[in-house]
Amino acid sequence: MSKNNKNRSVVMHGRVRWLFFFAVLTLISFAIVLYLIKKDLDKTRTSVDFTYSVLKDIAELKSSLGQAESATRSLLITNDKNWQPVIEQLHEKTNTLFAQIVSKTKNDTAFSSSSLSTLEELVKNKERFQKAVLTDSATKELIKKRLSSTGEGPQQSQAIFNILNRLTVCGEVVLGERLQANAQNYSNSIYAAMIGAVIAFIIVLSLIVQLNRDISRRKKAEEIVGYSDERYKNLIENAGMVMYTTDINGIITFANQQVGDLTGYSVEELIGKDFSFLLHPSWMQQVFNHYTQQFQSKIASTSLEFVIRTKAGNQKWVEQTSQLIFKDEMIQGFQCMVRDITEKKKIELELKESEQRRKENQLRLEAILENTTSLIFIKGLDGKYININKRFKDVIGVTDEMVIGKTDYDFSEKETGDHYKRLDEEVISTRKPVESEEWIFGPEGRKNLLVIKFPLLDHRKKIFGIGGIATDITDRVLYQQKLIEARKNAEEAKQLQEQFLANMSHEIRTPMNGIQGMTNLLLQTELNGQQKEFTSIIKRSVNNLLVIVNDILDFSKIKAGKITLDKVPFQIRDVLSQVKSQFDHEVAQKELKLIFDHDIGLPETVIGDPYRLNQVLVNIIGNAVKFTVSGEVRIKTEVTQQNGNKATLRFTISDTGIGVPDEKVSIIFEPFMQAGPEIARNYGGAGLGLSICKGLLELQGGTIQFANKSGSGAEFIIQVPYEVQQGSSGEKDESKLLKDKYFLVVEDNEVNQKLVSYVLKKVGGTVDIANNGRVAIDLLEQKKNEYDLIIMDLQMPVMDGYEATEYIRKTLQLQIPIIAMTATALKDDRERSVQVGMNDFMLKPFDFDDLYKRLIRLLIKEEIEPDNHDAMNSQKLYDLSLLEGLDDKDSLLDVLNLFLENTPDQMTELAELSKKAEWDALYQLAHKLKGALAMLQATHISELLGKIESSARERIDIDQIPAKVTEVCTLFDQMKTQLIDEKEQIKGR
Amino acid sequence: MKILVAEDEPMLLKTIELKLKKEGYEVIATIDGREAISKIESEQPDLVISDIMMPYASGLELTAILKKGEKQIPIIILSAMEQEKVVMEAFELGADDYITKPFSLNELSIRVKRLMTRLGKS
Repeated sequence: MSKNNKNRSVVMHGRVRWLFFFAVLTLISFAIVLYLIKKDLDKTRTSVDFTYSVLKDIAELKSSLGQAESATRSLLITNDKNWQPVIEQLHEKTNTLFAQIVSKTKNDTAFSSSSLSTLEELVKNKERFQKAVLTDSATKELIKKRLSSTGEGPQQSQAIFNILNRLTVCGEVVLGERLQANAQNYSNSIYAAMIGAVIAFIIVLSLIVQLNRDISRRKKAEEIVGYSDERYKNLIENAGMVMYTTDINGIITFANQQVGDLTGYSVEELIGKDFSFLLHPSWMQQVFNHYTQQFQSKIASTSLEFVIRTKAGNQKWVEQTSQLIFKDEMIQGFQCMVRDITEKKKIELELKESEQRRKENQLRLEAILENTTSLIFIKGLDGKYININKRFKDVIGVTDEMVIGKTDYDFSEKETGDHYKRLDEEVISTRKPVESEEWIFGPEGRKNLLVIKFPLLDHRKKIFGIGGIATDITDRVLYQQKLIEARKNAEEAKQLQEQFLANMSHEIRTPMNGIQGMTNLLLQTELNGQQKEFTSIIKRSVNNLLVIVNDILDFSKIKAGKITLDKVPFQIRDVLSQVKSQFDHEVAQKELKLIFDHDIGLPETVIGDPYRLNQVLVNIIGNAVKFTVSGEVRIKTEVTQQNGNKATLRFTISDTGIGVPDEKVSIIFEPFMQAGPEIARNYGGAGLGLSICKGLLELQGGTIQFANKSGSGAEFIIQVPYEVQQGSSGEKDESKLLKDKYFLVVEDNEVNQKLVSYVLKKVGGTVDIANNGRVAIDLLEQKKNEYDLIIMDLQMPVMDGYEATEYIRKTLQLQIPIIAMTATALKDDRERSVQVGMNDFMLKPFDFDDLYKRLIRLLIKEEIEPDNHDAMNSQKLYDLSLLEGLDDKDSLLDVLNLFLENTPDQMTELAELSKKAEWDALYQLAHKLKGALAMLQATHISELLGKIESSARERIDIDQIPAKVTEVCTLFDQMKTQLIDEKEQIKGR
Repeated sequence: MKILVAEDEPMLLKTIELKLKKEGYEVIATIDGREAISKIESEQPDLVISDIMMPYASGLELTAILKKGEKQIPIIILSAMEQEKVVMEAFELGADDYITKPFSLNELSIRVKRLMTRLGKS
C-alpha cells in the first residue's frame, strides 16, 4: 500500500517537474526571440545610420565636385596659379569620398553599382579634364570652350550631378524604407515582449495550480495510507500466514491471530513477551545464534526451521522467515512469517526413517550375502556377472575384477560355458527356477554344488536378470556316496549271509541224505534189540534235523525274496485231505482227534499256490498236534469274503493243548523264538516254523493270527485270498478235447501207472507205460513223433525223470510236452524240472480235473500254434533282442530284409573262397559276417565264423576250414528259414 | 548333431543308422574307409562311429586322421571280441570309446549320449 502511495507522489512530482521544465524552455525561447528582435532592430538602425552617412558623403562629394569646378573656372579665368593646389586638394577629397561611398554601398543592395561605376568614370573624366586644364592653360580657346555652358566641362559636371542626385534620391528612398522597417521591428519587439509576459504568466499560474493540486493529492494519499495500514493489518490477520514482529531484543510487538492458533497462546498473551519462550528448549541456543548472526550481519532476510512448544506442550516444527525492519538505516526489529511444517517434517522424517530402514535392510542383506555359506551371484540377461558374494570368490578362487562384467566363457571351458548358458536360457524362457548339480575345482578342491538359477523380475514382472544360489553339497554328496556304498556293502553282506545259510542248508542236506539212506538200509539189516533202538533214534534225529534245515532254507529264501509263488488251479479239499493223511499215523498214536470241518459254500477250485498252502497247514497243524497231549485238533475251513471271482478263505486251527503263555503271544511269529527254552528242549525245532508261515502267507496276500482259547489250548486263524475258478467245464468237454491223444506215462509205481492210465483212458486217450526213463527213451526212439504228451515221474530207478527229459530235449531234440509228477513237494524239484525242460509239474496224489486242465492247456494250446513254430522257437538259432532298441517294426523289418538280401550271397562267396583257399579274403569276409551274425545273436554261427577267421588269418588248422564253412552255410540256411518266418510274424503284429 | 558311421557290413550299418536316426541324430552312413574319409572332410560330423576292419582305410586310420585334425572330432570304435589289442591301439591314437560287437542298440545309444555329455555337446 505504501509503495502505491509513493508511486503516486512520484507521479505528481514528475508532472510539476515537467511543467517547470516546460516553463524554463518557454522563457529561454522567449529570451532568444527577444534577442533576435533586438538584433534585428540594431541592424535596421545601423542601416538607417548608414544610409544617412552615405547620403552625407554624396552631399559632400557634390559639394567638393562643385568646389573643384569653381576652382578650375577661377584658374582658367584668372590664370592664377594659386588655384592649382586647391584643385588638387579637392580632387583628393573627391577620390576619398568616392572611395568611401563605393566601399559603403558595395554591400548595400539598395544602391545600384552600375550607377556607381558610371559615376566613377565620370568623376575620373572630370578630374582628367581639370588636370589637363591645369597643364594646358595655353590653349585659351579651348578653355573657353570648355568652360562655356555648352562646353565639355559643364556637361561632365552636369552628368555627375545627375548621377549624384539620383543616388541621393535612391538613398533617401532607402532611408525611408529602412526607417519604416526599423519602426516595424520596434513594434515587433514590443509585441514579442508582451506575448512572452503573457506566457510567463500562464506558466506561473499553472505551476501554482499544479502545486496546489499536488499538495492536496499528497494530503489525500496520506489519508489513504492511514486507511491502508488498517486494511494491511486485517489482511495479515486473515492471510492464513502466521506473522509477528519483534523489536531488536526479540520482544513481540505485534502478532496476528494465526500466531495464537499456532501456539495456543492468545495474541494478548504474546505481545510483550520474548519470542524465545515459544522455543523448544533444545533449540534455544541455535535459534538465538541464528538471529544474532542475522542482526549483526544485517542480513535482510533469513529462513530457519526449528521446533516450538505450544501452550499445550506439543512440539511443532515451523519454518520462520525473518526480515529485518529498518528505519533510517537503523534496525528496528524483526518481521517474522511462520509456517507450520510439522506435517512436512513428519513426512520427511518418515522418509528418512524408511530410507534408514531400507539402508539397514540392504546392510542386513549384504551381511547375509557376504556371510552365507552359499555361493550367490547375479547375472544380467547378457550373461555378464553383476554381483558375486564372498563365498563365491572363496570357493571358486576368483576376485571381483575377474568376474564382474564377464561371462562364464571368460573363465570356463567353452563346453562348460555352453552348459551354463543353456541353463540361463532355460531360466529366461521358462521364467522359472532351474536346478542343476555342478562341480568345480577351486582352491578348496573339488566342490559339488547344487545350483538354483532363478529369474529376477521387476515390478512389471519383466525379467531383468538371473540370480543364482549355489549350495555346497560336497559333504552331502560324499556322505551319500558313502551311504550308498555302505548300503551296498550291507546288502552284499546280508546277501552273502543268506547265501551262506542257503548253501549250508544244501550242504548239510546232502550228507544227511546219506545218513538217512544208510540208516534206512541199516534198519533193513538184522540188528539186535539195542542196535535197532539206537538206529531208530538216529533216524528220528535225522528227520528232525532235515525239517530244521529245510526250515532254514525256506526262511532264508523268504528273507531274500527268492520265493516265487505258483498260480495254478487246485482243489482245496485235495490239499486238506493230503494234510490230513500226513497226520493220520501220529494222531492215532497219540489218541487225538483230528477233525476237519468244511463250509458248504467252499469253492471247488481256486487259483493259487497249493504247495505253499500245504506247507503252512502242515506246519500249524503239526504244532497243534505236537503240543496237544489229549483232546482234539480241529480245522475249520470257510469262505469269509466272496466278491466276483475273488474269495478269501479262512482256516481256523484250534487245539486243546498247552497254549502259549500270554507274555509270549506277541513274539510267536518272530524268527528263532519259542515259547520258552524248555519248549525247545521238550519239543525241538528251530523256532522258524511260524515265522516261515507268516512270511509265506504274506507273500500270498494273506494273514495269520493267534489267540489263546478261553479254556485251554491255542487257536490260529489263517486267511488267504484266492481267485475262484468258475465252475469246472465238465468232463465231457474235456474228454472230447483229449480224445485220441497218445500219452506216454513214465512211472515206476504200478498203482500210479494204473491210476494215470485209467484217468487218461477215461477221456479217450491212448496210453503207453514205461517203467523208467530208459524204457521211455527207447519207446520215443521207436515212435518218434507219435506221442502227444509225456507224464513223467521224477524219482525212478535206472534213469530218473530229470535225466530222461534232458535226453529227450537235447539228444532226441523232441519238444513234446512233458508233465512232471512227483510225491516230493519240494520247490527245488519244481525248479529243476523246469531247468531240464519239463513243461508242467504235478503233485501226487493228483486231482483228476487238475490233470485234465493241465493236459488241455498244454495240448490244445500247442495245437492252435503251427507245429513247426514249436520247433523253431526252441531251436532258434538267433535272438533279436539286441535290436530291440529299434523299437518300431518297420525299422526292424528293414534291417532283417537287408540281412536276408546280402547274407546268402556272402555265404556262397565264403564257400567259394574256402574252396579256392583264398585265406586272406576269407578271413576278412568271415570277420565281416561274424559281426552281423553276432548282432543277431546267432551265437553258434558267429563263433564258427570266428574260428574260421582266426584259422584263415593265422593259417592254423586250415584243413578244418572247409568243414566249418559247410556247417556255417547249413546253419545259416536253417536260420534263414526261421528268420523269414519270424519276419512274417513281425509283419503281422 | 551329425554322426558319421563307417561300417562295411551293410546290415550293421543300416541298424546303427536307423537307431541313431530314431534318437534324433543326423546320420551319414559310409560303407568303407575311403568314403568315410571323404565324408568326414565334406560333412564335418560331430561324432564318428567306426568299425576297425574295413576296405581302403581302417578305423585306426580314421582315428589318426580325426585326432590330427583341428576339430578333434570324437570317435567311437566298433570292435569284435578278440580285438582288444587293436582297441588299445585305437585308444592310444585318441579314440574316445569303443563298443564290442555284438552290442545292444540301446547300449550304443547310451554310449553316444554319454560321450556327448562328457564332451559337453548334446
